[in-house]
Amino acid sequence: MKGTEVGYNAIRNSVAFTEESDLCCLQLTGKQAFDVFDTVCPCDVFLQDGQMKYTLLLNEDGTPFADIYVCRKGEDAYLLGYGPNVDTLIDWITEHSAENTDFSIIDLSKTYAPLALDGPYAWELCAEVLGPDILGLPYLGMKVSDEVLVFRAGQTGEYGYHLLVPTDQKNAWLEKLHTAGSAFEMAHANEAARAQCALENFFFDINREGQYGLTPFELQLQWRLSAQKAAYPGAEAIRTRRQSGWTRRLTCFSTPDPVKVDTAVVCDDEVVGHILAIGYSPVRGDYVGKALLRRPYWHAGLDVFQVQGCPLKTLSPPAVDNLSWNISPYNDSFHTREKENGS
Amino acid sequence: MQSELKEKIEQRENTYNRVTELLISYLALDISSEQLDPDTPLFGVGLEFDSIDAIEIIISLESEFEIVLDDGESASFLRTINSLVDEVMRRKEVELDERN
Repeated sequence: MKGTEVGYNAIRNSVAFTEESDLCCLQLTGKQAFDVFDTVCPCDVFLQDGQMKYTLLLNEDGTPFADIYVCRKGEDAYLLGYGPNVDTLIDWITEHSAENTDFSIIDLSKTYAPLALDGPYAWELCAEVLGPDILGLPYLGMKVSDEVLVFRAGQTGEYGYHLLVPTDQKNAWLEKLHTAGSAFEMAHANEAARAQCALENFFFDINREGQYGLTPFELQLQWRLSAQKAAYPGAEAIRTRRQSGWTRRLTCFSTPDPVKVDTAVVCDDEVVGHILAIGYSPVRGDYVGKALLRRPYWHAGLDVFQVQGCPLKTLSPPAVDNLSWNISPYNDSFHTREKENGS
Repeated sequence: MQSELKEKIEQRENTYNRVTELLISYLALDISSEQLDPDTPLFGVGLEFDSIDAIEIIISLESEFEIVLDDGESASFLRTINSLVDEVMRRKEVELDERN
């Protein structure tokens, strides 16, 4: 538990390092590589060179199958995804892309090791080990630097970078990161630490709320879909649900006491929803989570609920003030942060 | 449902609907209000607004709700539709308190 807190604090205050064992990394090659993206993704896949897009892959019933980024670098197409394992993901894409024949899928996990840097000063450490050009990489941008594929994205609410380093250079890169990272008080963050940060920032976790058979409407993920696109796996279910409407929605909450997942949320002795995720927030000093609440109780800003006898209030995420929101690579530095903060 | 809670929810829904309609009309979004979720990010991902949009949003909210938003405080209220609604409701409350 202490290890989790150390990693959590590094993500929130300095920079944390993770070996991402759960991230699937694929490269699609061939003339129809981007046609495959267009066939399987529920969003419009128009990508500029070096641009990433956040979307989902959906089951036929409209529930998320995978939580993914798609990316273009020159003529290369990349897909980073959470949820299924890499073989299941490749099989799913192949099965749903039968109309496209001129493409191949390369499992990058055979040749690259996925590492992640997250934290308000992740950009500064990245620049130190990969060069200053990295500072110009915009959010949801990708570049190749020194044989390392760098994707600027994260799910913690802080600056985040996914680094795919060549497997045969992994140990050298780890050494480099640890050496440079010590000046940034870099710590290792485990999955629990990253999951807590994601929870506080209301990022979708396919292994948590993604396991409840909910569609993007209940999950507040409509922005990952195109409202106009007609054909993709799950499109029929999405269209039907959009027409019929939905009566429950995932809502961020806080409560002072630990309560169990799946516990009923009550208002005036009436069950109005259930807890789907909860975790202790060291920054706040209470528990934050996601509850599936029914209309009209699904609004933020209501402090009228109880769960297992404890008070629960709904809130607008993020549940914490992310330090990264106020830190600029052009004005700030980890090394002068105390002086800048006046402490 | 208690009348106090009902009133609170109606007030929230009313402000939310006005903010959403405002975003759609001022920024000429090609979507309906049902296609926007309250916790959709406004910048970077989600609605992918830029700094010009931020200025438009602030001006339109100030005009619609007769409040002052751009007073040099943190702009973290620009993160989601819900955070905009929180800020509008907070500012309205402050104004009401000051008047009383």
